[in-house]
Amino acid sequence: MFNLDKCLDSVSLVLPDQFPLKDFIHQNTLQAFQWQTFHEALQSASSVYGANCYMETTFYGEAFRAGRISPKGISKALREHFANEAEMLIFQQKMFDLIDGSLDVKPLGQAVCGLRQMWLAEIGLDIDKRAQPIIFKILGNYLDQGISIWRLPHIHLDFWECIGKIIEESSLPIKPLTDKECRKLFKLEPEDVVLHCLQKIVGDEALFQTYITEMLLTHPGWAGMVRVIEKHPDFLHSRRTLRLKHLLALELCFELGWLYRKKSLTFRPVSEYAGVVEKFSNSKTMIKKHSEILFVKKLWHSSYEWSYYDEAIDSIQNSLRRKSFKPQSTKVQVLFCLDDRSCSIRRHLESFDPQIETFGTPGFFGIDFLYQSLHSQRPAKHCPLPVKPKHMVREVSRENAHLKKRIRMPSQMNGHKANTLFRGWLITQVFGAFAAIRLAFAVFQPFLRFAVLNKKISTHRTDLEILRVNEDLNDQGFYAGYSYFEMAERVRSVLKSIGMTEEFAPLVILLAHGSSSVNNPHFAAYDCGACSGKHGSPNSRSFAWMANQSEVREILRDSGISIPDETRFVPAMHNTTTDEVSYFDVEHLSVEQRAIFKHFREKMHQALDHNAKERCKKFELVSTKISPSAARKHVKLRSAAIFEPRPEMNHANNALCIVGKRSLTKGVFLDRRAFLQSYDAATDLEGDTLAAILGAVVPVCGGINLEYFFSRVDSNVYGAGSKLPHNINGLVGVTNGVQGDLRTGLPSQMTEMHEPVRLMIVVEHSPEVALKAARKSPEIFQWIENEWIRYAAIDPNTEECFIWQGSEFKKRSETGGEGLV
Amino acid sequence: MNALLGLLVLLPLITVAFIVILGSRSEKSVSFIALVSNIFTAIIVLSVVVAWMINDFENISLHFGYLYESKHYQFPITLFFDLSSFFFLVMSTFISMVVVKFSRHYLHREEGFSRFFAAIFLFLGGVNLLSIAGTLDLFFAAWEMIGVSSFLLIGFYRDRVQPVRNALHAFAVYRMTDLGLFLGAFLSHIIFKGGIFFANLTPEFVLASVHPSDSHLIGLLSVLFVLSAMGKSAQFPFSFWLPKAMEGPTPSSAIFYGGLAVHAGVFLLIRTFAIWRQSAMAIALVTTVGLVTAILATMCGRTQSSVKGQIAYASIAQVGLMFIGLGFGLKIWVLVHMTANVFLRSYQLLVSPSAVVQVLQFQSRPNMVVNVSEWSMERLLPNKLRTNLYVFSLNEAYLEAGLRRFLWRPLATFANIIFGAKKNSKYNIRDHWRWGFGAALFSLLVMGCLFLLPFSPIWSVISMALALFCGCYALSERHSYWLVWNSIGISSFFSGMTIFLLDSHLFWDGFIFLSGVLPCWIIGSIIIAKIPNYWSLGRKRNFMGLAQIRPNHAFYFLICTLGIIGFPLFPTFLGEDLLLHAHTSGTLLPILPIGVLFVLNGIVAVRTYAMLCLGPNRFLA
Repeated sequence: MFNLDKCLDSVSLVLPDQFPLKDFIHQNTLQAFQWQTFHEALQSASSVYGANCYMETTFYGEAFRAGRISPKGISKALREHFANEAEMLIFQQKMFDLIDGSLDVKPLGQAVCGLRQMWLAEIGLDIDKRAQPIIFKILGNYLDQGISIWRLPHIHLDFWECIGKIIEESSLPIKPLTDKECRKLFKLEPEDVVLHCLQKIVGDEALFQTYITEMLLTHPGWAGMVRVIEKHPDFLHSRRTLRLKHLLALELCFELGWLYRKKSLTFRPVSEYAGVVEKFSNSKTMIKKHSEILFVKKLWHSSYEWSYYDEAIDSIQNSLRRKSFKPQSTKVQVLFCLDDRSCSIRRHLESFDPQIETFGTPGFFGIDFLYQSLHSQRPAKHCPLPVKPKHMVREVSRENAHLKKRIRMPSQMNGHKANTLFRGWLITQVFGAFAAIRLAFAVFQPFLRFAVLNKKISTHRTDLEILRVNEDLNDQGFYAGYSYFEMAERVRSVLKSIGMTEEFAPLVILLAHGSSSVNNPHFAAYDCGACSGKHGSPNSRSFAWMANQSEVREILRDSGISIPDETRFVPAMHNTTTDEVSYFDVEHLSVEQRAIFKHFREKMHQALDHNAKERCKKFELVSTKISPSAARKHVKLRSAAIFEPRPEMNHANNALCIVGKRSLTKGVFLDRRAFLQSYDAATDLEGDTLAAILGAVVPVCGGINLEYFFSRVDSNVYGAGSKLPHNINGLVGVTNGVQGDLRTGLPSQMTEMHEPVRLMIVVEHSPEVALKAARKSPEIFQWIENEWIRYAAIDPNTEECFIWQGSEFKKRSETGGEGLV
Repeated sequence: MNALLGLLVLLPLITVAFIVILGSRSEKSVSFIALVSNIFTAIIVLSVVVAWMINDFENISLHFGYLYESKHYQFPITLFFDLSSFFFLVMSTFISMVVVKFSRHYLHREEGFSRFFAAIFLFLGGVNLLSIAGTLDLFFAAWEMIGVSSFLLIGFYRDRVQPVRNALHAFAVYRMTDLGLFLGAFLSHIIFKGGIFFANLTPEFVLASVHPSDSHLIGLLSVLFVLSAMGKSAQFPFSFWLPKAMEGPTPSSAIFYGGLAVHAGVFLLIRTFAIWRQSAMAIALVTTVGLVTAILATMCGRTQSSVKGQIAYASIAQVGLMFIGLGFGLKIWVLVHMTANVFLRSYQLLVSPSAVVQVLQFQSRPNMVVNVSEWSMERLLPNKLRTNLYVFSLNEAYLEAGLRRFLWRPLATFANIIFGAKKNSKYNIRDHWRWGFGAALFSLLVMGCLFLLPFSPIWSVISMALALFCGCYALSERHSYWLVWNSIGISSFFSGMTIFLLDSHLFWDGFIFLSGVLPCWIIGSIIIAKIPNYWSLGRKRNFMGLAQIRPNHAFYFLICTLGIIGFPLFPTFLGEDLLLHAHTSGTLLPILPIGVLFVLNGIVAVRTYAMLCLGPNRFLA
């Protein structure tokens, strides 16, 4: 018997799991396929979505000519797949034979080559072209969070009831629902409607699921959004109740309506057309037919990855051999986010003052909370996606009169008012010329924006209500703040995981990060991934406040971490777009601390200049000879320019994640490609801390990496395409133009620089412990086992490197790499 | 001074040429060319404006001579600068500077960077010419340039179907309503001997030069002008194309739909103010259209959940108000409103990607507890009425469906009936040869007869019938682009011949026309013939995407298409004018079918181009 809910559960797995724009969170695009091994999953996904598995062969060809793919890499890749030399030789030959890309094919997805194609072929009816625009419009208006002025009537009902009510009340036609048969359906429950329509349209129960899948895959963006909102209704400010089956019922009604119109009531269902199933389900066979070129591409891709891994591990091992010395006394310790963007600034900062020591840890600093900012009505989650926060922290103003000093936005021109008839007319007449001035300044003098902004932003100070005074849950069901014990627990776990349990410097800076860009619908994707796409400053402020409490230090002392009284934690935030750092709560510093702090600020300033210069190398239109301070000015400009689709390169090129002591990477030029997590193997012989670290690092970094990977490999299917024609729809997503499907994934402007390489996690520990730690959580181990990320261990004692291949750690020296066969 | 104004038109066109020739090499050279051209344009506009102001705001009228001159017809090149030109020119220069500067960064690394700038400058050439054209004929040329460049920009992302389809929609609406200006230009030559010069177009002049017995013609002429303005300005019942046209990169949306292109219709009405104000019917029409549009567009806009769609409708609604203003004769007020609207909407569109941040900030104001969209005026209406109005707006006032049903469908059905085209009939190769050879033989036969037999109007009728026949065939044929293309060629050929055959002394004019049509037709055919299996292409009306495998061929084919549809830079355009105007002495009768063919062939030719060259590449699959 056909079970709709079960069917939808399995169908919805293939739908993209992307949140509304304001909560963009990086995730593995092919989550649904994660139970398969990476390369298998690519192929299955490719036949479902009609996407590329790898880059074009010519891409690898060019990489080979440019030396990006080394002979060593090719040999490693071949050795990974074959045991004997003869085969390796044959396939190596094949790789070079097919390098011109003449045999490249793009598979067709289920949406364009499946059962539903039958309607076009057999009765000449393009249902999608006719039905989708109006369905998307209704759905878009239902989900709208504040763009349309006039909202859908009965929007407080659930989607199906709302549409039913509208259809009932409306005497005007919504094509093709004019038919009595169709109108009747809206009085039924959605489940019954779905079944009824499927029976009529498809006929055979065995084909139901295929048909539904194909149907939803013609618009994965909207379908995925519906599913996400079904699962997490709290992601919308204005709540909506809708289920995927509501959408499905509506769509099937439209489809039935069109078929009735075209063929009257007596059309034949799909299953009655002879040979239809065989004729229209050829996408899988197509993949089989081209398995050879796919295999060769896989080899090329592996070579591409190995060429990078090889070089990266070489440089790490070299650095390990150099035995960097530790300075006598550290004056400042800085905790960075493990983000790949911190990679360069840490290097610069250390090079300007060897007495500064840096650490890396996920940018939420272990503080799992919902944060209620002074500026927002609703609290926002500031911790990684899988974490379910139980606490909530509010921001309060130190002054009372904060309401008057609000940022006054939006101006008349940007709001709805300008789009209505009469008010719009007045605004046009009054502010039209003003718009010209604003436009001229925004385009020709973007810097002025800062002057205006600085004036507008209120300068009053705020506090966070971190300490819990009341044990009751608040009305949203969270604890208001933390108790001292809970605080100590959070501080302890972070300090322990990065191995910072003694030798505290007088000043510990907690450097969260966030970004600022204008005219950018995907702004949330630029912020801290560990904070669910938010700025990390509330987290660093909370952490610092906690660690500065004498009560907390007291408790910590019992568990073996003694923080001296001279040590003070200072929260700060690094704006990764403008390369500016702002510091919070510095007024309590003692005189000595203040002196150190002043010194640190100067060094940081220098480091930021050089960081900006390093970033500018990646921007094609910037001269490579730009001076550091000019580079800083330039990146600042990028963040304010409304015409800049690339405010920063974000995570582009991320490929490496190093879990270990800083000495592994100190001074190594990793080109902003590595996530750096501090970890001291000596304090964690059993691997418990490592397991905890992997639990946070793998989904966050792996998610970022794979989202970039897939958006790069197929920008139109997995990615959002070019962002230039994007149009914000209902504040939940972007579409191309005013019609069409929501675009999911990352826009090509974010990923075009990205080298699609799977993340390699290098752990500084013995392979046995590394394996044990990874095995502790089956979800984490699945990533490694199925090779969605590569896993390597560097033994701190023997300095030998082991790489996870197949199903075991292999010594690096045994993985080949002599050059071409 | 003379040279300066002339340069204003030439400069963008020269820029286009430079970009096309050099552009594909590097982004830097394109953006440099664009920048230089922009600065020069700004300097010229500035100096013209200053000179105009120093001269006590006296209108400037310049005569550059004649593009073509014969004893019965001249095509003068006359530029005219007055207050309305000032508004339009300054505004367009400002917007173009902003948009060019914006796009240089925004389109960085985008595929088709130079294509985008070429289209932008083609558009700017059109807009500049529009604002300073001295005669209606030049104005029409500018009008066509804007139409074609809009098509190119809407369909900028040519590898996807949706933009291409929407570009076609926009072009079809443009072309249909261009009929107004096409016939209007012709009619104006009949009414005002020598055509319309804006410089001396005053109400007194109009009254004085119109023969009392021709006063009904003034009414007709006015309605034709209004029709054209309605199409270009997306007024009722053509409003639907504008929001759909938001397919290009954001800056092109800003320059076109928010900004300049939708206001071209208003500008036409301002230019021909003196004429259509004479006709009560036209005044009523303008006011009504404006009013209906303002109401409908506001309603549709209020239910739009996408930012750009809402801005598009807001812009249409404001243009509707301008129409009302024009209906009341408030010319200056409309000019001011127009300028303000262009600035505001361009600004809104350019910052439209910020909408999320803006609304989030707005919602986050502590004193704004209620969601902004919770309240709207419509809540005051009774439930049932509200729902009905909502459904009405949701369907965008049924405009597209209505237009399709009452205008396009009958035409297509008519053509289908003539040729009995069955929708899914299998393609028959014999059709191809029959048509190809049949048509060629037939045209040879006709040509032969021409020289053997004395000229007689009967030939003209036959030729007209042939042209219509082929035009309809092109419309209904769905199996082969080769046949469609050749039918269009034959149809254009014979529509030119029709007039040629009426007046034997028009040999030279006919030659000019044919010199535009024939080469384009032939080259186009060759390009199609070079594609493997070319005769069976086009089944199921798929977009083929030739541009992706042979961009050069696609480009040449575009040129051929432009040549056939009478794009202003081709002899076809001049020839069309010549043939029509030379005929002014004769009967009005053949002009209407020729007008219909002008629309029909234009749409079908561009459709053929789009189907063949644009869309996802299907040649490999």
